[in-house]
Amino acid sequence: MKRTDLFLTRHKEGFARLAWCMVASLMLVVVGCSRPYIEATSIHPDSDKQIEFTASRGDVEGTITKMEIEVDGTVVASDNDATATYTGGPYPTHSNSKLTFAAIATKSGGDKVRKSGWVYVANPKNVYSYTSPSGSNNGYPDATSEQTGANLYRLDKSIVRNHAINAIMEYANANSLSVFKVYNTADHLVAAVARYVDEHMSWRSDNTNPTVFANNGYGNYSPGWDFPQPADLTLSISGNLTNATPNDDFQGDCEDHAILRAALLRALGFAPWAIWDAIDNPVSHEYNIVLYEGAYRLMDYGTIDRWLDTHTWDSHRSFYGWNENNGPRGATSTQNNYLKNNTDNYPGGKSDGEPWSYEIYYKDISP
Amino acid sequence: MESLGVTRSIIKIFHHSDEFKKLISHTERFIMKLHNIMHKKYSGLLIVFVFFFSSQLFAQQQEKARMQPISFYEGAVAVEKISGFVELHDGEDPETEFKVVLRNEGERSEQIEVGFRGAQARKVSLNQGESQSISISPTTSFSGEAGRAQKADIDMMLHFNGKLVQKPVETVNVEVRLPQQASGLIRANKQLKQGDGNAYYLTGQGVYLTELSVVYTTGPVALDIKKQIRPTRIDEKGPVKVTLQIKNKGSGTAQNVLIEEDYDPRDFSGEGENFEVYEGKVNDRRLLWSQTIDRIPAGETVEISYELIANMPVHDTKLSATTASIDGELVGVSNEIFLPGE
Repeated sequence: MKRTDLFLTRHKEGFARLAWCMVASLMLVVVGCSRPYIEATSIHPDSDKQIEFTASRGDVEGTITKMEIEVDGTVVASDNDATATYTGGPYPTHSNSKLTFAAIATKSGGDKVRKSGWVYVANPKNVYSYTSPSGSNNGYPDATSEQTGANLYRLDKSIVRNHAINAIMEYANANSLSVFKVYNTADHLVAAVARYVDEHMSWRSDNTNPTVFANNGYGNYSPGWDFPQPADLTLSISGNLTNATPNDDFQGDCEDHAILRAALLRALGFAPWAIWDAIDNPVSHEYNIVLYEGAYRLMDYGTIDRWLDTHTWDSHRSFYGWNENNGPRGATSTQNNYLKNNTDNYPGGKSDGEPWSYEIYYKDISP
Repeated sequence: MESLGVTRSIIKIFHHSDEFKKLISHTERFIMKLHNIMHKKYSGLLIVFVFFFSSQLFAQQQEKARMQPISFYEGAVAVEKISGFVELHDGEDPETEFKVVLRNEGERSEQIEVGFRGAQARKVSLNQGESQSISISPTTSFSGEAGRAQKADIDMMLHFNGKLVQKPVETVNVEVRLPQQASGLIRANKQLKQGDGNAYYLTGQGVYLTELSVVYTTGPVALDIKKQIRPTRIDEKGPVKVTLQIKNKGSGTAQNVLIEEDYDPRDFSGEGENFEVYEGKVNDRRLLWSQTIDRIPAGETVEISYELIANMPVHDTKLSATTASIDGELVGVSNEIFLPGE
């Protein structure tokens, strides 16, 4: 008899026991996997909004006599059925942290099965500290390498704050809201800024923009690549009449619109991690990606509603990104992949589980 | 030199900005001197001192780069009415006269400072239930040259005690008077109703007031441009007819008038010699349309129509205003058209 055969014969009984144990364990795992299902309104609900939790049978078989919803360790809803819903919050005390929840299904025999989850309660409001401008030209960028959020948003200039306040006032007028309500609701801030820039700014080519700067006291403004306009100068001189024919209050091309939107939002205390300037790959357009309605969304020409559901053609290929925390602005695949690589995107590190793609910012693809 | 190493490490903890880097080199030199002066047994004191010094610098740095949250006036005084006039001049700052009617809705007397943003505030005392009318002036700015296109900005945002007023203004009625010799209003950033002659009115109820910008000209040509599209909603791709009615409301004949429009080329395309697809130097693309009108005599109207192609439904965005210029000087701006959502 070979040594291996001898070994197997001697331990036959032991092997049989082991096999039974493995089968039993597998059955336990399968039984243990039967869980109810629970979901929240979105994966990054705003801290100033209510959250709706919906619990359902999931893959639990048999009769369910009670379904409970637990939020933050407390049972908040109970139904003698296989489903339950609960609308709770807002949860400002969980700002920028996880809020745990669970569905607990009680089966007819009294056994309970549980499914837990969490959402990241996003609060991009009330961030008033900012990076001081450090550009070589009085804080403005003097080279492509100095095209940072700090140097282009110019949050140190009161004109930026003044127009940010105009934005929430005018949005409140248009929507019959109190300005206090607008200021304290993250989604309203985003919508107000998108509306303000759409209403007051129009496109003008970079063939003309440097000439207007030169004719209005900024002949030495030489920021390097693509002539991005600092937000304060867009607001103060881009609509001037000196050797120019403006058709709106402010003028500039796509990156100037994007810089102004980001600056106005930041001036309202919107967090730097929640607002990006994005550049298409191949380079053809610049716009914003902003935390809105619990996920990152496109903010481009038009109101915030403009691009939420529009995915009928390749309008955006968001790839290069920069903001106050990441930069400088640019479009090289080795240095400016901040959108793809940044852990802020999504906050709390919770994405839809799919690999990053520029399409993630469309509502029908992003969760 | 152990204490020196520790102090350097402490500084590095706070080292996070370019401005701070400059401070570090000075601090390090200072530490070196201190270290040479002080005996080794005082090294502990040196560490404590440098830690304190660095913390202070760091705190100052943070303080310097901080905005204040917006503060709101939450008291009992409401703004019943803002009325008055803005008198625009040829080549000079505008004159203003504003009356603000305040009402104390509270149950005790109130003392507040009332002023427009950035302008001098005025102290007011109001007894319980009292209404009072006061005169205050807004900040204004002006750009442009006499005899040409000019722009005036009037900031009408109200502050009480230096804070934003939470309640909207109940009634607004402000007259905007163009100079007598003005050929007309080119554009305003708020809707103004035309009155008699060169008078326009800003009116509203239950509104927050922000800046009013008015562009006007005292040159011989001012064009009133009305832009329309058909269909008025773009719910599907297909042709869109654009019509421009251009009236010369000035006293002189307009010659070689350049009419310009631009569109987002993702939304629209066009065919013909008037269209050009602009490719920016690096970034951005635009569909441009332009046409030159040889002559528009004073008082006459010219109508132009052309066809755009909507590449898809276009919602929740505006079509930019049409610009009219003669030799690079602005003589007219049309209305903007907002394309509503579904």
